[in-house]
Amino acid sequence: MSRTLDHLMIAPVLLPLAAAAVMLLLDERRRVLKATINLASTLALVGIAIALMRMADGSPIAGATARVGAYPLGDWPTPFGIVMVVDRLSALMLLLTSVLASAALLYSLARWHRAGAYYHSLFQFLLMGLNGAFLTGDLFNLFVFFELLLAASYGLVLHGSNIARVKAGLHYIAINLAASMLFLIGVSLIYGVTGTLNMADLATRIPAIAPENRMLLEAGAAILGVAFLVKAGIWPLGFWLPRTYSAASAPVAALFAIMTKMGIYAVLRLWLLLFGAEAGASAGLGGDWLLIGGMATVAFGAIGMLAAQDTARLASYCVLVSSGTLLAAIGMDQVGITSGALFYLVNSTLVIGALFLLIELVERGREAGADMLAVTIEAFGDEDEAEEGEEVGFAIPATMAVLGLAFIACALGIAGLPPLPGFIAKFAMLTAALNPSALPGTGPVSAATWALLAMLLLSGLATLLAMTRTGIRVLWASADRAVPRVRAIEIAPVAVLLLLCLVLTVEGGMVMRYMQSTAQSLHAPHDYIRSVLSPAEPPGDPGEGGA
Amino acid sequence: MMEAILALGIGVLAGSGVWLLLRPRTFQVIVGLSLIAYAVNLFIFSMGGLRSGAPPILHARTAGDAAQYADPLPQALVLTAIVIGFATTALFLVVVLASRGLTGTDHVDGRERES
Amino acid sequence: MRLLVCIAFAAALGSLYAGGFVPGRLAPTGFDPAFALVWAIGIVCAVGAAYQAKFHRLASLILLAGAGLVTCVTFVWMSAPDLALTQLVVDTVTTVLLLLGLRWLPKRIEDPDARASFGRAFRPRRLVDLAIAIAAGAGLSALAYVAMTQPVPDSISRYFVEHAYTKGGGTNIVNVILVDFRGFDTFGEITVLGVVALAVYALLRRFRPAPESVDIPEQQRVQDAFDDADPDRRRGDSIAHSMMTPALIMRLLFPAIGMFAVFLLLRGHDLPGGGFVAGLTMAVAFILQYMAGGTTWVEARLRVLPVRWMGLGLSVAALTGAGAWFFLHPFLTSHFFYLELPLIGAVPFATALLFDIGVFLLVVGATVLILIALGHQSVRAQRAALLRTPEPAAQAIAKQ
Repeated sequence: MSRTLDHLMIAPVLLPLAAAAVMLLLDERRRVLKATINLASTLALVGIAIALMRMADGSPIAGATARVGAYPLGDWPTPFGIVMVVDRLSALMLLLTSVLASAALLYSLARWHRAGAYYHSLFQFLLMGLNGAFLTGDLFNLFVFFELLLAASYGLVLHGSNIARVKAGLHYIAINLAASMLFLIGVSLIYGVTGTLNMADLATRIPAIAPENRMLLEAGAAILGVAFLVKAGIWPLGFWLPRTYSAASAPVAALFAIMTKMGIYAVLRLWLLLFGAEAGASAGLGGDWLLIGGMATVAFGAIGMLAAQDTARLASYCVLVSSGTLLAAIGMDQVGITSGALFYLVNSTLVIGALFLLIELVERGREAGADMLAVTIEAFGDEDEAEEGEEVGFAIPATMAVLGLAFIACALGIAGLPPLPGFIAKFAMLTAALNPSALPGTGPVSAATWALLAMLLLSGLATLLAMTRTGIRVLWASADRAVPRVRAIEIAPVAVLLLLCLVLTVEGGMVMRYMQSTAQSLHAPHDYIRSVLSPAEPPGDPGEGGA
Repeated sequence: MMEAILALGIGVLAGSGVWLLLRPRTFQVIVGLSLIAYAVNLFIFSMGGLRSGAPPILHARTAGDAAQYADPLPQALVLTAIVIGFATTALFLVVVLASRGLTGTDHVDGRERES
Repeated sequence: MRLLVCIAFAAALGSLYAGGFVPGRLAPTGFDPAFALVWAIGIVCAVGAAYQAKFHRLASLILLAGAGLVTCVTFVWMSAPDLALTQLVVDTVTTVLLLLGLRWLPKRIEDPDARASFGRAFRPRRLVDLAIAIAAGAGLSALAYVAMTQPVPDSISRYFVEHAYTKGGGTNIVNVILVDFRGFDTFGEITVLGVVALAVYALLRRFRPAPESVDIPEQQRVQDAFDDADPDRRRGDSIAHSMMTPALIMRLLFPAIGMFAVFLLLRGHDLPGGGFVAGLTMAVAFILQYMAGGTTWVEARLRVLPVRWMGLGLSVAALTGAGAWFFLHPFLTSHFFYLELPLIGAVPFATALLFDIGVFLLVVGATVLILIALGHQSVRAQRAALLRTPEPAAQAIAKQ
C-alpha cells in the first residue's frame, strides 16, 4: 500500500470540509460556481469511497490481502490519539453515503438549492459529519461527528423554511439535543470505568472489568444505546421521524435516508465490537431488547404506512420499517442474518432515497401550479425574485409513464419482491435464520426466528398494500389534471438509484460475498482490534510523534 | 463528602432541567436544556475523579507525573461539550423564535392547547 | 411526546439497577462547609430557575446564570481553571443571546383564575412529569456518586500528563490535548459552531417576528414620547444621553478586551486560555460595541464579514493540519519550537498555535454572526413593519 492511499483515509472528511470552507469564502450569489464545487467534491467522494473499499476488501488485481486501515491523527500512538479506521463496513457506508449524496445533489440542482442561504456549504458539512462518524474509531470523536452531522441536518431540515418545517425542526432539534446529552453521559461513564475512549482499546479492556464496576459500564452502554436508537428511530423513540422527514425538502429527506442508518451503524459497530462473544460477562448485553424494539418498530412503521394519507409520510414510515427490520436482524446476533441485513441496508437506503425524490415529482403534478407557486414564494420571500426563466435541463416527454414505472420499481424494491435486491436480502436473512448451521446443537427453530420470519413477510405485505394504494390514488387519479413538468436532471437521479439496485441484483453473488465477509469480520473483530492497536504499516513513526 | 454534595448538585440540576424539558413552553425547554447541559458537564468532569489543588498545568517543563495532576482528559472533553452545547442552544433559540414568528405561539407543538 | 424520551431515560437507568447498586469503596474526601454552601446556592438557583421559567423569564435567566456560576466555581475548586474560564465566557454570551431572543417572545402574564382551573385539569400530568424529573435527577445523581467513589482506572490520560510537554510542547495539559492529542475533536467542534452559525443566519434571514412583538418595546415608546414632547430634543436623544457614559467606557474597552483576547490566545498552550476562550472574549468585545453604539453604528463600521472569518478560520485550521503531509506525517501532526522575539523573550511556538488561531478566527466569526443575525432583527423588523402599515404604526406612536 502506498503512502497516498494511507492519506486517502482522511480524505472523506477533509474534502467536504475544504469544499465547504472555500464556498464560505465565495459570494453567496455565485451559485453556479458553488454548485460545481459541491458536485465535484461529492463525485470525488464516490471515487475515494470505491478506492477505500477496494483497499479494505483487498483488491483482487493487486493480489493484496484484505486489511483494516488505521490512520492515527496527529501521529499519536493509538489508544491515546484519535484514529480513523477503514474496514469493510465503514467503506461500504462511505460508498452508500456518497452515492446517495450525489443523487440528492443532482436533484436539488434543478430547484431546491436556491431556496435558502448556504445550502451547498451545509450539504458538504453534512457529508463531512457522516463520513467522519463512519470512519472514526474513537468514542468521543464519534460524538463530535454526530453533533456535526446533526447541526448540518438541523440547517438542512430548516432549509427553505416554512411552517411545517420549522415546527418539525423544533421537535427534531429538541429530541436530538436530549439524545446528545444521553450520549455524553454514556461516553463519560464508559470512560470513567474503563479509562479509555478508543473503541478497539475498549473492546480489549471490557472483559477485564471488575464485577462491581460492570454495572456502571453496562449503565453507560445502555444510555449510549438509547442515544443511538433515538437516532435510528426505534419504537417508541421514533415518533419524531415521520414528521420531520415528511416535512423536509425532497433532496434533504433523501439524504436523511442514510441518517437513520447512522444510528444503526453505531449500534452494529459498537455492540458487536464491545459486547461480542469475547466480552466476558457482558456479552450480548441488551440483544433481546434490540430484537423486541426492532420488531415493535416494524409493527409501528407498517401500521403507520397503511394509515398514511400522503406519500411523504408513507415514505417516512418506510424508513421506520427498514430501520426496525435492521435492528431486529442485528439483535438476532448471527453472522448469516447480519450479512443479509447489510444487504438489506444498502438496498433499502437506495430505494427509500429514490422514493423521497420521486414523491416530490409526483406530488408536484397533483396540485398543479399552486404548490409550485407556494414553494417559490416561500423560498424567496420578500427578497430577491426568482430567476424563473432559468431552466436547468429540459422537460422530458411521457412524464407520467416514467414516473409510474419508477414508482412501481420503488414499491417492489421496498416490499422485497423478486426482480429487485430487497428480495435477495430478505431471502438471505430468512435462510440464515432457518438454518442456524453456525450454532451446533440448536434443534428446533426458536420462537424469535419465527417472529422475525413473520415480521419480514408481514411488513413486506403491508408495504406492498400501502404502496399500491397510494400508487393508484396518485398516478391513476383524474386524467384531466396537468402533467407535472419534470426536468431530466430531476428524474435522472431517481433512475440512477433504481438502476443501482438492479445492478445489485445482477451482481448479487459478488455483493453477497462482500456482505458475508463484512459480517464475519464484524462478529469476530480480532483483525479490527489488532490493526487499530498496532497499525501494521504506520504512515509515520508513532514513537517520534510531535517533535 | 465532596462527592455526595456534587452528586446531589448534579442530580438537582438534571432534575430541574428534565422537569422544564417536559413543559410545553419553548422558553422553558431552552432553560431546561441549559440546566441539563450544566449537569452533564459536571458529570463528565466528575468521571476523572475529584481533586482540589491539583491544576492540570505542569509545574516544570518536563514530563509530568500523573499522580500529581488532575485528570486532564475529562476536562478536555467537557470543553468540547461546552462549545457544542453553546452552539446547539443558540440554534435552538433561533428555531424557537422562527417557530414563534410563523405559528404565533410558543407552544412546542405549534398550536395553543389549553395547557 | 417528550414524555417518551424520559420514559426511555428512566428505562435505561432502571433496567440496569437490577444489576445491583454497589456504593464505592473509595475513602470519602473531607466535608467542606464552603463547598456545601456553594452548592446550596446552586441547588436553590436550579430549582428556582425551573419554577420561574414560565412567567418570570428574566428571573429564570438570572437564576440560570447563578447555576452556571456555581458550576464555574466548582470547576475552579476541582482544579480545572480552563473549564471555569470557558464556562464563564460561554455563559456570558449565552445570556446575551437569550436576552436578545427574549425580545421576540410574547409577554406572559400570570392569570390567577386561569391558573386555578388549569392547575386542576393538568395536575395528573404535572405530577407525572415531576416524578419523571425527580427520578431522572436521582438516577443521575446516584450514578455520579457511584462512579465518583470508584477508584479511578488506569486511564489513557496518564500518557497525556507524561507527554504533554515532552511531545506536545505545552504545559497546559488540557490545551495540549485539545489542540494536539485530540485536535481532531476540536476540529470537528469548531466546524459544528460554524455550521450552527450558518444555519442560524439562513433561518433568520427570512425571519418574520410574531405580529404582537413587532411593536417598538414599551421603554422605547416612553422615551420617544418624552423626546417628542420637548421641542429641543430629537427622538432617540434620551437613550443616547443616558447611555453616554457606559457607551464611552464600552468603546474604550474594545481595544483592551481585544488585547486580552490575544493574550489568552497566545498563552493558551502553557497557561489557562486558548483559541476558543479568546475567540469568545473577542466576540464579547463586539457585543459591547453593539450595546453601546447601536446596530447601525457598528454595522456601518464593521469592515470584516463574519462569514469570511469563518471560512478563513476553517481554512487555517485545515491547512495547518495538512501541512504535516509535506513532512510525510499524518494529518494534524504538530511541530513546536521556541521563538525568540525581541523584548518579549522566548515565546513557545507550536504549529498547534496556528491551529488555535484558526479556532479563534472561526469562533469570533461564528459568534458574531449569530449575535448580529439576532440583533439585526430589531432594525429590520421595525423597518418592515413601518413599510407594511405606515398608518397604524404612526398612530400608535402618536397616541403615546
